[in-house]
Parts: sequence; structure tokens; C-alpha cells
Amino acid sequence: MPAIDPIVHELARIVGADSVLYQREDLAAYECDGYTVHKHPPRAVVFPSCTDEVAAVVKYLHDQNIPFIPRGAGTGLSGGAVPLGGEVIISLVKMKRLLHVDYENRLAVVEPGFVNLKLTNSVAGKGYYYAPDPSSQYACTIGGNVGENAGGAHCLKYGVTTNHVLGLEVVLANGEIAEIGGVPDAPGYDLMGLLTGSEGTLGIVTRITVRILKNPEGKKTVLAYFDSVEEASQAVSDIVAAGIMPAALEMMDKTAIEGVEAGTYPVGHPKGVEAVLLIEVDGIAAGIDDQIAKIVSVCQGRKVSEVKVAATEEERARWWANRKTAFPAMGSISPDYLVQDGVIPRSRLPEVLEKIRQISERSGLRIANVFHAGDGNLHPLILFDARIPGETELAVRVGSEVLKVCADAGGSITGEHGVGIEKKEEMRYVFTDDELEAQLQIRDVFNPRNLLNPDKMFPKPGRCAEMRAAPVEIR
Amino acid sequence: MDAALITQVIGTGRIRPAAESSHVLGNHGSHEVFPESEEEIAAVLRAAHEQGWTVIPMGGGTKRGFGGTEEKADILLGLSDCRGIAEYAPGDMTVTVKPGTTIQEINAHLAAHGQMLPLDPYWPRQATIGGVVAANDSGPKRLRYGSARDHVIGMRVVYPDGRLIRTGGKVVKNVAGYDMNKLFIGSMGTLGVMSEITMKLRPLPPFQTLLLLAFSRSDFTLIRSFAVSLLDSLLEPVSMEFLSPAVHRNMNGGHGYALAIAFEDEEKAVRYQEEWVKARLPADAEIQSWEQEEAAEWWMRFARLPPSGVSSGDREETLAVKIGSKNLDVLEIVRACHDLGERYGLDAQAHGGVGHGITRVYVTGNPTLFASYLTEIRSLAESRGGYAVVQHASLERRRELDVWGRKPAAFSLMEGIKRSIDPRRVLNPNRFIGGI
Repeated sequence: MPAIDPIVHELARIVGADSVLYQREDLAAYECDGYTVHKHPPRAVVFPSCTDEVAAVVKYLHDQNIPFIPRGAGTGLSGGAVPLGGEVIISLVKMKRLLHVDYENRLAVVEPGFVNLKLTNSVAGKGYYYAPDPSSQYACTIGGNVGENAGGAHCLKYGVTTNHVLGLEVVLANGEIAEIGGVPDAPGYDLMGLLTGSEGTLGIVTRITVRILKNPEGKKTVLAYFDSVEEASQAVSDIVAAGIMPAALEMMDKTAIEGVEAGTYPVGHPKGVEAVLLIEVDGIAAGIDDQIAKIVSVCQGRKVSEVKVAATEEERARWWANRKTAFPAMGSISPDYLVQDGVIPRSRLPEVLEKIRQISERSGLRIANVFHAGDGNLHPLILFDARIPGETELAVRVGSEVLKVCADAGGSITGEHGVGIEKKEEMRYVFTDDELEAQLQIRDVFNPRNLLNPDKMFPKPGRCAEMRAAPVEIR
Repeated sequence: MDAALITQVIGTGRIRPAAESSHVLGNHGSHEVFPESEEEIAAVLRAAHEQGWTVIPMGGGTKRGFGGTEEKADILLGLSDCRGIAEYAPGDMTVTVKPGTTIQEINAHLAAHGQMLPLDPYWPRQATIGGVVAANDSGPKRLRYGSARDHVIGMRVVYPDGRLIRTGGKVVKNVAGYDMNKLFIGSMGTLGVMSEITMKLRPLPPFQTLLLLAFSRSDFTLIRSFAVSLLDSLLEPVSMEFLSPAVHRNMNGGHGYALAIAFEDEEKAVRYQEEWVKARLPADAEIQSWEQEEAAEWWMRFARLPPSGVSSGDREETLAVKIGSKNLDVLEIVRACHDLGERYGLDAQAHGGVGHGITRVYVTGNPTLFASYLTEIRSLAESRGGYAVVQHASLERRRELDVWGRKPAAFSLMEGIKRSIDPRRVLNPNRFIGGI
């Protein structure tokens, strides 16, 4: 039996022996997150239960020059929590309390391991909710949401995580604890804005103050089926041009529909339709019917084959369950799938979807399209079979090609899943060397030794300075 | 600085000797340079970086009295000639504009397509988007629509050494790399000069109204419980701006405190919300209302309340303070601003957003009392976890007052960012918090 890694004793001294994992079989669960293409076991996993423990763990690792990665529920889809370099994982799942809700000031204070959906459930009794709603919201943590600047289906109208974070307590790379924000427009540079979406490379958030919203008075949901993706895409633009700000505007194409209908929550989408739009409008009840009427009329102007409004809350919930489980549902029609996350200006939808179709044809891999059409955030699901030699690599290549198409259309390589390890190289599709360098300059201010989640987000070889700043490997 | 050198980097037609040798608000320049393009901005900054010149960027000049203890820099970089819409895609609900474009100009352009910039900063006819973003200015309607950090999705920024950096992108949802936009919003022009700004838009609301509730008895228990019940209701007010008696008088000749509640939605939804409010009026409240153009006109007048760096004379001895707090603390802070004014014999006009937490007060009268007034307001704000920042005062006053207040936690990171991006302190030296 190999000798126990000496850092285990030190970590156990800080958090207690039962809050450190170090045996091979225990580490296996932390080899990857929701991105499973690359795996590597961490050196150890440590579970602090309070800010002071996080700070002590970070200070120890910093002083020892040992790289580390903060981790929430591990639902990330770009590999941000994968310890490819054998880093120590600091899991925040034990810090999962809802600390405080202030309804009058519309805010809630949570620990980073608190699960997204639990917040909405905790305040629902008084008619409030937490707006960012990633599809994994039943499992993902708010700390992870801050790390990734998570979005969701309803961010078209309500924004993403960064629009809902009011304050952070953060443990910096050297173990110092800092309070940031708390009131609007706090004087000084917007460190809170930089930390949100920094994928665990600038600090570890240990307490988060978020905005909670009052439930909309009314909400109506429409399903519209189209015989052509082109017409459905045009309908999306027309809805926006008609001055309607839908709370959500989702699209699935034929392959995706096949997947969700074979999955756990089929809703009986008719066979043979090329595209379905799921459109939700919310707000003051008195104004909603007029908006729904406009939407129905817009869809009719685009040769909709069928358009219907959810008759009951139960029906609405079924439609959403069908949509939100679209990724796992692909498992029913393909042994493996890779989710991509490109963004395009929504007016370029038809042209980009056509290019994706061509990539699919050329590569021989089926691609299902499930996406937040309202904000142009595409989730092409590349279906493949990992048992066939070379097909995983092909799927990864196809994903990169799809992102190139998005970038060339004036878009982005990621709308909500983050860069992680998956899209490091694709960062070059959207940023010049100078622009990458400008971001690395910021990282150097927060994380000068590059110990916090190293080798994520930025392409390699980054730059000369990066080589100089590379941490000494202590293995 | 060697004036001859600047003519080598930018055409003499873009250079004007300073019209006056000094300005009562400071933040002046020995030379005024008006680039017309991003390349020209870069050329000036590159030269400044190499020669060790200091540069103060300026848009419309409305925020000239905001921050800074310097009489002048070597160069006042006027951005008013970098103006216009660079790209507008109504179908994408995004617009890209040059920094010297005024808010009014942008909105006029968008209105033709039924859209708007969901931002209502002060002095929209003079204030430019570059200045509004750099100073993170916002108005009462941020309650519903948010502030600059919610709308800006991309920028082109010229760094102090002349490098060009794009941040964010042109799509409404984007998490590629760090959210570098945030770095420049509210940074008071200390890190770079924005040469283009891309923003998310919203459709123009089909209908709008403004309800002004006047509370003649100033019964704060009633006012508070009404505000709380409205915030806890299902209504979706666009603003709930609490006005001190002086603002109420100035705007409408009214007496006592007042609450300006705006609704923007489909007409049926607006009418429903109006009825809700009218059915639940507190005992001492009187109500007035305006709709459509008249409501918009009321807000335009409101946007001219604060002192502006470009209006003349009487504004020079006005102190403007921005106070940030938790949402409902606004009620008490507005009241304290008013009461303190009475106690000091100063005219204090205060208003704040119940529901968004930003209060502003404009003080005139004996300027030697400003420092004590500021200290008292600041200690009240700080005791509630908030802050107070001087947004406008003459240079002389700013040198006596503590403009920014205490350094925030993690100030060393802010210093580190400044040192990393602008090591030679070219841009706006000493304009920002902690001498940044």
C-alpha cells in the first residue's frame, strides 16, 4: 500500500479526518464533472464546513505552492472542476446553509454549497423566487453558479447570475477573506463582476448575497410547431421585433424532439415536425393575453402548423420538464452525446443552423439542436458512440467546428457553460493574443502564483510570462 | 509636456489650446485634444504612455465635478467627436455606439425601431454613453431595468499604452473568459478609454404612466408600510422614487414627501396597476398622475435636477452626494438628508429609489458646512452597511472633502489592477477611490 500523502495530515488537522478523501477509490468520483471526455483523479478532496476552514486550507496550500480547485455539485459542462493536473479539490458541499432571507430588501444570503432550486423552494411560500434557472438547478450549487456565471432558460428577460449577485464573501488565493459588494454600485472597481464567471480562478466564494424576485402575477406558455427550422427562426425574430420580451423562448429541432419524446418526459409532440418553439410570457396578468395574441399571430404569419397555449399549470410544467431534460434524453437515442454551447446574434439563426446541418452531414454524426433561441444561445448535442474508435475525438472536433461557425457569425464560444478545459483553444476564435493577455493580467493580480484552478480557461501555450509564472510542481 | 510632440501624433486640427487656463471644477487639460477615431485615441495614449503625460478623458463634461483633486492634466481628451451609431441590429436588440454619443441621440435612433436603451441617467441631452458607463450613472428606472452593468455586453477599449482590447462580445449571453466589461463600468476612466460600447436593448413600452403620491403629514410609518406592501405585491413598478420635500416642491410645487411610481407595460396592465395603487392609498396621500408623453416629460425634467459640469454659475457651489444602501434604508436616508439640511440651514434636495438602494442629494448654501453635512450622511450610510460618494463639487471643495470615503475591502486588488493596466498612471490620476 502506498504511503499516505503528507498533505492529508495537514488538511485533516484543519477540517477533521473525516472531511478529507485521499484513497484512490474515494477520489474516483472527483475525476471529472459534467464534462466526461477528460478525467484525472485529484490529489485529495477536502470538505471545509465554514469560511475560516476554507481560508485555512487555502492558506496552507498557497504556502506549500500546491494548486487547488473549488468545486460545487460537479454539474459543470466544460470541465472546469476536472483536476487534470492532480490538484487538490476543495469541495464546498458541506457549506450548504441558507443563512438569511430579507424579504423587504429582496435578498437572500446563502453558503456556496446551497442548491439553486432549494433557494426558490425556500422563498416560494411568500411568493418569491431566485431567477437564474440552469437546467441542472435541482443539483447545481449557487457557488458553482457564481463561478460559471450560470444562465438558464429564463435569462432572456431576467438576466444571468451576474445580474442577481449583490454581494460576495470571498477567500482570495493567499487565504485572505474579503467582503465585496453588498450594496449597489459599491465604490471601486467591480471585483464582484470579475469574480462572477471566473471559473474558480480568481477566488473561492464562501458566502453569496443574491437578489430574490417576486413571482410574476401571470404566466402563459405557448408551444408552436413548424415544418421548417427557417420559419421557426424567423418567428423568433418576429416576436422580438413585435416588442415582446418573452420570459423564455426555446427551440428544439427534429432530432432533439425525437430525443425528448424517447426520454423520461414525453409530451406527445407530433411526428414529422421540423422545429418546436416553447415561448413563455410573464408579468402583470392583465397584459398577458394581448401578448399571447400577438405571439400566436406572429407564428401564424410564419406558417406554424400548430400553436397552442398551456391550459393548466400541470401542462405547462410537463412542457418544461420535457425541455429541461433534453440533454439526458439524448441518452435514449444515442449511446453518447456532447453538449455544445455557442452563441450567435439571434438574427443569424437560420444561416448558422444550416451550417451546423452541413457539419453534421460531412462528419456523419447526428446533431440535435436544443437552444435558448431568444438570446441566440445554441446547444447543439453531438451524438456519437464512444465504443467506436475515433468517434469521441471526431465529436470533439465537430464541436469545435460548430463553435467556429458561431464565432464567425459574430457570436461567442460559450453562453453559459464556461470555457473550462473544453474550450480553452477555442478562446482564440474570439480573442486576440493581446486580449487574452489582458485577461491573464487580471488573473495575475488575484492569483499571482496561478494556484487557483490552473490550466483552465486560457489556451496553451499562453505566453512567455505564463511559463515563468508556472507553479513548482510538488508531487 | 512638450506641446510640439503632440502635433506629431495627431493632426493640429484636433488640438485646441485650452480655452481658459483653469476651470472651477478642475479636471482640466493644458491641451484639449479631440480625436475622431479609435486610431487617434490610441495614438494619443501611446504617446502619453511613452512621454509620461497625464490624460483626462471627457465626454459631454457633465461629470467634470465628479472625483479628482487635480487642477489639470497634460491632455484633456475630448471624446465628443467620436460619436454616432456604429452598428444597430434591431432584430438582435443590440446596439454598438461610439463613446461620445449622447444618451438622447441613441434613444432617438432606437425609438424609430420601437426600442430603447433601458437606462435613464441624468442630463441625457449632454451626457454621453462613454461618460455614463465610466461613471456608472443611472436613474430611478433602474428599479425595473437595472444599471449599466446589466446592459453593457461588449466594448472596445484603448488601454493606457495604446493597445486595443475588445471585452465581451456582441451577443446577449457570453461567458467566454473573464467578464472584462465590468472592469471599466464605474472605473471613472482610470483604466482605459472606451472607443465602442455594445448594449442590450429593450422594446419601448407600449404605455406608460407616472403616479405621484404626496404625503402631506410625512408619517413615515404609513409611508414605509405602503412602500413595503407595494414591493411585496405582484405589481411591477418601473420606479418607486422617494422625493424629499424640496424635490417635490421643485418638481411640482408640492408640499411634504412624495413617491414617484412609474408603470410601463401593455395599457391594460398599466391601468390595472394604477387601480391597485389608488385602491390602497395611505390615509394622508394625495395622488396626481401623468401618462405617455407627459410622464416622459416629467422624467426629462427630473433628469435635470442634479448639478452638471456643463451648466453655468449657480451649480458651481452645489454639492451632490450619491448614497448606496439597502433598498428600504432609502426612506430613512432621504429623510436624514432633508433634516440635516434644515439643521445646517442648507437647501438639500434628496431623492432615492425604494427598491434599488441609490439615494442622491443636492446641497446648496454655505459651502463651509458641506464637509460636516457629508460626514454626517456618510456615517449614517456606513452604519447601515452603505457608502456615500461625492458626485459633484468644485475643485476647491473636493480638495477639502473626502470624495470617496474609506477604502473598501480588497482595495489592494483594485490598486493591483490599476498598477497592472496603467503602471505609469497616465489616465485620470487621483480621480478615483483611494488615490487611484
